[in-house]
Amino acid sequence: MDELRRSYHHELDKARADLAVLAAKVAELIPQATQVLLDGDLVRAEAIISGDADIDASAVEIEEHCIEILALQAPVAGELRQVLALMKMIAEVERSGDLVANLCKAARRMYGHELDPRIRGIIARMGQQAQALYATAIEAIQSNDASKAAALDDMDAYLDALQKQFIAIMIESKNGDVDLQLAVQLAMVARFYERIGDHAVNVGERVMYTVTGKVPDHSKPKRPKVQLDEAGNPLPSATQEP
Amino acid sequence: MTDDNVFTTRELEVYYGAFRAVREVNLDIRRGEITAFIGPSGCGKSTVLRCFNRMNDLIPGAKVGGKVEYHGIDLYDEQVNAVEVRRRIGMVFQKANPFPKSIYDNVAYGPRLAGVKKRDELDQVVESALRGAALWDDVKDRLKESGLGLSGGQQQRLCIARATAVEPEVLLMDEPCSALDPIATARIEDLMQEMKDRYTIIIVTHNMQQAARVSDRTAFFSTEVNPESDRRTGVLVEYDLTKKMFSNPGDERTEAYVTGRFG
Amino acid sequence: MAVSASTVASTRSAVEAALTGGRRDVKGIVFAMLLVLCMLASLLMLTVLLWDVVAQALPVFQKRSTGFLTNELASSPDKAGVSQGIWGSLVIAAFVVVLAFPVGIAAGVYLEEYATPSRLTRFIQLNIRNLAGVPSVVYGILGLVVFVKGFDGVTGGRSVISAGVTLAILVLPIIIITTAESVRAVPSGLREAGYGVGATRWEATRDHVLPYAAPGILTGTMLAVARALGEAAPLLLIGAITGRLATASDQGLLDQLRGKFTAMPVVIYGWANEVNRPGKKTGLTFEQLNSAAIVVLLGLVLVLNIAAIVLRNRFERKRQS
Repeated sequence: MDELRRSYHHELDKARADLAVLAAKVAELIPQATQVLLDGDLVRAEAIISGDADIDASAVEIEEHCIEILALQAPVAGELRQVLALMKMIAEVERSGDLVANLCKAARRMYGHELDPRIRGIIARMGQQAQALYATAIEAIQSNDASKAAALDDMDAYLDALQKQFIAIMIESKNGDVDLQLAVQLAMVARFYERIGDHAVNVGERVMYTVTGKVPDHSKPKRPKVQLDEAGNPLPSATQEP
Repeated sequence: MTDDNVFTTRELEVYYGAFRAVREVNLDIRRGEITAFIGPSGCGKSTVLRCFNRMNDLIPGAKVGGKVEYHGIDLYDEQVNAVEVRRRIGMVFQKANPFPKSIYDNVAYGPRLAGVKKRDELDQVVESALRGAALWDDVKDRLKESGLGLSGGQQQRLCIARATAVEPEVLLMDEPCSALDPIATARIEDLMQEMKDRYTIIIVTHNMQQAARVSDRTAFFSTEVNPESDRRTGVLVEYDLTKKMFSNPGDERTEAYVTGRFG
Repeated sequence: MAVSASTVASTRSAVEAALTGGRRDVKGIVFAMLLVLCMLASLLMLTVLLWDVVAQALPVFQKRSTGFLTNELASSPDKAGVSQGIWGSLVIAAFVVVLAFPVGIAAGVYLEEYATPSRLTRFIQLNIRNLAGVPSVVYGILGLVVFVKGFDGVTGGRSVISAGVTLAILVLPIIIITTAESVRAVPSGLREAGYGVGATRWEATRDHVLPYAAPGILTGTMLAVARALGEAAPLLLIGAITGRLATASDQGLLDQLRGKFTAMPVVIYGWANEVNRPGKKTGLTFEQLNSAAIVVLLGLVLVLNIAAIVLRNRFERKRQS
């Protein structure tokens, strides 16, 4: 039997593709923002901050497209889940865009300050990991693959551990001689990266919902924490918790 | 009136005898669009549709008031030949009504009337019409069999092929899917989307979701009770882009109807 | 859900009793039986009649074979034949076909397809229905006055032309009514489909309405032919000859048509009045000859209707498909 309701499915696929493109845009901006933080490139910072308005506008467009699909096509079953999940994912991606702009705003406020090389290293690592998380989330969106969604969880555990190490290093590095403004901004930077990772995980959860119809059970015991060594590499965990 | 309008109605009304069935309809139908007429039963949507190809002429006692203009020409002018009108404005009916002839003859009937006599010309016309109706592959090996032997959905597509064989500009569809199962309905809806670039289509449907799925613009008709005679007259309530009609209609009667709050 | 075994069983038996018991539909059965009896009775009567006739007719065909069909009227049962009767009836049938069929079918189609319903059309239809019920002897008087006496220059007076035209008029209402009914029964969807692709009223009528109504119309024509061939009263009034009829062998066709004539019903009437003395050569009586004549008449009706039956079957098959 050949496919029916082709134009409607075309609309659905287009909405998903548009979301993937938007998420890719945001993902591209993560390493740029990281570079801005490390180099103090104010021009680039301005560009990213003002570019966030475009990202917000695109998100609204895709959302309106989803509303149109709901009103006109009355999707059911998997397709209804898909449209609802898309609308939630739009929010995640749009928020991630905001966070990237926030990273640049923090760079602006930190301008002129020297950064400890260990801190620079962790910032670079957090940027990499957040970008990897986002890339995996995009793959999950495009392929509707629940297994990728599961992988996101572990990657985020690593990002969380990096953030904790970051805070610890900050606290012990300049004890006594602390610049409050810098410290606060750096703490927020770490938080921003960690939030970006969380949003990516949420995207993965939405993909799982689309595929399985099940919302993740947050009452289950949380995933095992990742231990890091001095250089910030993950240590193999002694016990694997289910 | 822009060049893009295929039909314009001004104060259109229809009387059956002394009873006014529809009053004061003002509509513009745009080229290349699918326009849906929706509304509860008795609201006159089929009546208005049949004004566009003068099928109401066939009902004794039916009178049309106001104007129906097709590319600026008043369809009900005395000089206008109803037969020529119907060749340019085709119709598909609620109950599939293929002629009790072969599939080939069903589709070839209109072109033959229009003067296509040569066999190979007819063959071409029949094949392209059947292809356009997504029926060619199903029937190409049995063109000589009776049209009545097809399934309901196939019969309706045969009627669509028959209507398009005379190459009309407009296709009027009067609840074409109401007697069909969901799969046959979906096939015909897909067909309508494919046909949009060649025809202007007006579809009457009592299925709101169908109007939402296929049409670009939707006209919502409702009924008014005449206080003296206690009979219902059809009236056009709202006519706008389908997107708007189903997400944010202007008239509260439209909202009540599309949300199902009243039938 | 704890239900005791005994309640389950008693429920079950109660349901069973309700379903299998109940009153028997005595009235219904009696009614059905009565219907069957009536049907059998009518079949029986028809069969008895036909049987009687055929049994009497057999010796005629056995003893005189085709001579019966080719001989003219004569005073002796040895010689008398039905050829003139057959010829007269065939000519009458021809008049009916040529005059009544086209006019009647056209009138029926006009009344149903073309005329806008009005008080006038309803009045006309009512009158036509009444005309169908007028006794045939009245048509005979009409024929006598108008065609035999009034137009005797054209028709030749008491001729088969007068008879043919009179009987054509007699069956006209039947044809009009059955045509109108058949056309009315054509589903409107068929007409609409025709108009929808740009057919004129004539094209829609010719290509869709008439073929669909054809079986009904053809049945009407069959009824008309049977009626026309079987009516005796108008023929008697117009002056068909009973007894002896001399035909000059050198008469031209027109003179034959305008001259004295006879037809099968009148032959039968005439022979019924003959003395029932058995012929010397064959031993046949006029009573037996009459039975044979009846068989011939029935055969004639059947043959004339075969074309209609074949056509009707073809149109019905096309409709069903």
